[in-house]
Amino acid sequence: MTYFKTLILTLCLFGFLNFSEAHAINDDNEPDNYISVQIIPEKTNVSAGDTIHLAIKNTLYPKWHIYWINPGDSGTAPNVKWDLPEGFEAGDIKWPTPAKIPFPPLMNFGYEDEVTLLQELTIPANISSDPITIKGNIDYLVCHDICIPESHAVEFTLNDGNVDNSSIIQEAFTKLPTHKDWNATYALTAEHFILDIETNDTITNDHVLLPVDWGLIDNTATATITKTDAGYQFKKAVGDRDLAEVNDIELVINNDTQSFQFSAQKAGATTANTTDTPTTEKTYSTTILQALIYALIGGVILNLMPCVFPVLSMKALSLMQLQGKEEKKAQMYGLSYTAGILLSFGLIAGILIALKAFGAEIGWGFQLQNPIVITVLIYLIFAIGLNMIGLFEISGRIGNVGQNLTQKSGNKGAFFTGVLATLVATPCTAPFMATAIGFALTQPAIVSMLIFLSLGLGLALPYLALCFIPALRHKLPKPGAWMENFRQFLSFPMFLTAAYLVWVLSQQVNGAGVLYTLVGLIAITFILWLKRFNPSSKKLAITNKILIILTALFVIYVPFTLKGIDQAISAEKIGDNWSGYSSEKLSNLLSTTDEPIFVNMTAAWCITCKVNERIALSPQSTKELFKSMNVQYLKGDWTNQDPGITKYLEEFDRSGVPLYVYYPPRDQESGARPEAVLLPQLLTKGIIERALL
Amino acid sequence: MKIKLLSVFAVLAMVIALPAFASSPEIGKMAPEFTAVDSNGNTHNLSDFKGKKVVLEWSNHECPFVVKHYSVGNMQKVQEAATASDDVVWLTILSSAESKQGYVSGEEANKVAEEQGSKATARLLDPSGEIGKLYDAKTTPHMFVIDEAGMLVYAGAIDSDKSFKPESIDGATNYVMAALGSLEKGEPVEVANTKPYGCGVKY
Repeated sequence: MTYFKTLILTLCLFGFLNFSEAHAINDDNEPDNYISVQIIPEKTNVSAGDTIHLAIKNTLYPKWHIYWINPGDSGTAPNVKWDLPEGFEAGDIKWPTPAKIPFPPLMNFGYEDEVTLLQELTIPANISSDPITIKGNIDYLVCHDICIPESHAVEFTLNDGNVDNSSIIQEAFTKLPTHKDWNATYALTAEHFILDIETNDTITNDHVLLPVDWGLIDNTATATITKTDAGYQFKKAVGDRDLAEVNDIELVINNDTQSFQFSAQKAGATTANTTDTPTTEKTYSTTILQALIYALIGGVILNLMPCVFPVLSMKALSLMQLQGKEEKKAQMYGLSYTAGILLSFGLIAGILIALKAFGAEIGWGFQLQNPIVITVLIYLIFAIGLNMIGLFEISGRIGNVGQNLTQKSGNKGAFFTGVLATLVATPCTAPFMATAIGFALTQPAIVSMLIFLSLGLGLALPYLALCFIPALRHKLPKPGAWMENFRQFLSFPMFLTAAYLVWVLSQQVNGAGVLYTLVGLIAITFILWLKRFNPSSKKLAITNKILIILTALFVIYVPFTLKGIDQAISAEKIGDNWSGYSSEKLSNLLSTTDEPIFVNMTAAWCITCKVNERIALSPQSTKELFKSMNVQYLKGDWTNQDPGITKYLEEFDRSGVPLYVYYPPRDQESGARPEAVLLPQLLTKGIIERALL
Repeated sequence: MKIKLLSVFAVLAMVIALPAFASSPEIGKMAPEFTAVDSNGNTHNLSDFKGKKVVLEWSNHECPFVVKHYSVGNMQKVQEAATASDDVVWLTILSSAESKQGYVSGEEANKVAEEQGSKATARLLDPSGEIGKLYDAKTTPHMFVIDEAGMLVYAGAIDSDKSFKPESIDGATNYVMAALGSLEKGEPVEVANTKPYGCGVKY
């Protein structure tokens, strides 16, 4: 019975607090304490040399929580201190598997309702047979929207009666993570925490990763889990701790039915060229090789894009002028052209990598998020169109059929065709190359650069092949009058590209900006017309010159008048079945609702995005499916730079749009949301249905 | 050469036109620029303080951890020691959203500061949480130290004891004082990154 006396005494002591403000904010409906603590020894009748467990049972006021050993972004774990009689030893606290407790934009790890911590207690070799009362103190931080410290004086008595509480201890042990001696290594890239586990156990996609150490991961991010040869790989956005000081770490992974605790060793780490971890090294090199091959194939495909094809086909046709005897010349052209492309790709990639290194939240396609760049591209593509349709000629250089190709200008011309091809290809690279480029940007600088160059090489390859393989050239149609017509015809894809870019621009600047740009196009035409003019007098010639200069100044001035407007899709905007994306909105929906969520990241200049919307997302049947399942549809617009969206893209290893993510509804039994599903970049109605149903 | 010129121009335009991007703070990198209005209605830019060391202190006067440091005069003591030298600016940033714990108007902020006996240079009002999220401020207190060049040299806890009990302050190492001391001596900051402890910022 004395056990109960102790219990009552302990309960009485709950009211004893060091902090008066804990009471100050309580209103009538709130309790004096948000936690009640009970110390339950495994058994009260102990012998010398015994090792028993203590259960520290905490019962919490509804919706309030206390923290795990790693509290997450804020908060602090309970601090248990015993005033132990001589010879007694208390072990480390054994922490049950915590729950994720989101407070957007922060994430905490802790416990609600009820939690029992366990602690080992070693009884010394000599103890008296009299009752032994052990006192202690536990400091808690207990939080809901606000945090309150509670300091509880606690005690328990041994050798007083004979109560067996082993069932309580056993029950508490079932809530602890199971220890595993898995062979696990972790590596860190600039943006990711990557954990490789060797195991035969099954780890499903709904497991969450909880490091015991702070700052290793971005606590709010979602981990992606992939099956490897030896086990599983977890990948999660890296945290904000300087990790040089961290070595071996302790981790917990769990889902609703199982929870494992294990330690992991630091593998090679921050650079790609570490050689001390053969396993990661292997996966590394294969993925790099794959990315390089994809980039190369992607580059070849770029040749067919409406913005690139006309320029290149004209260049290719110019080769027909060179008959078999001019092998060397053709090869030089090919090499110059390739050099032009590689240099331009290298330059753009260099800028991108440098900006990333300085921490800029940008991705590929970033060029198209700037209205000035778009305007310059519009002018350039429009001017090429005018050239093709025959308004003006540039003899011996780019884009013409090549009447007077000289060795010198031919090589130079080829080089700048390469530069030009890269420039006009940029509107098309972003949407089609997202995967390879996304991978590239998460890699060390040298690997990124290789991938970009590989993409450039792919772009150069078809023309290069024409230059080096005469047999291919002979397959080209015979030159003739038809070429002039063909060239003129090809101006129309260029004009269409320009029109498309004007539309992209209209998503970024106001109406006046679009008007200025259009007037700029007319001004370019006017300049070219003035240049054709053959003035009959000196006076007229001077007027002509002045007009040209003035108009040219206007054309140059236009891009600098453009100011970006707010995103076309702002977080507040609401469509017929969607609303604008913001990270707060998403984390709110994730934590407070049970409904499935569909996230669509798009941009005005992204053709793939538009096609996907047309064929997969906008049809009535998809809208009805969304409605019937009560899908919360969020749409983010990356037309202009938006660091929040860039971050989100990076969580999924992407550096560009489109990105489609489906968050399945909360599992009613477990109360947790299953892992997010990443949908492919080319959507069909079927893909969406399969993902949702 | 027209096309050549055009191409060069286009590439140049890409380089020149690259705008400044916001970036999350990182030790050893430039601290993100911000503009804020203080409790007296004055506007401050971080860049106004170039050439001085800047301490950012996230605060919420009702948070027990903030109370821990103010109730026994510890935070004030650190503020006073830091700002004793003319080249240190101490900015207390209040990021609690309206209707959340710790939200104050400018006038209330001044009153709280007077009651606390705060020695901070200014109290910046950030109820939108914009600056807080820019700096990834997680807790109150959460401390940042920025050197004369505008580089972030320390981010994390105020000291080494994460307890909420004032008596824990005595034995604890104050990281902000240590960082300022190292800067003074022209030495690298030894502990540049710790886990901030406290209540979550009430965004």
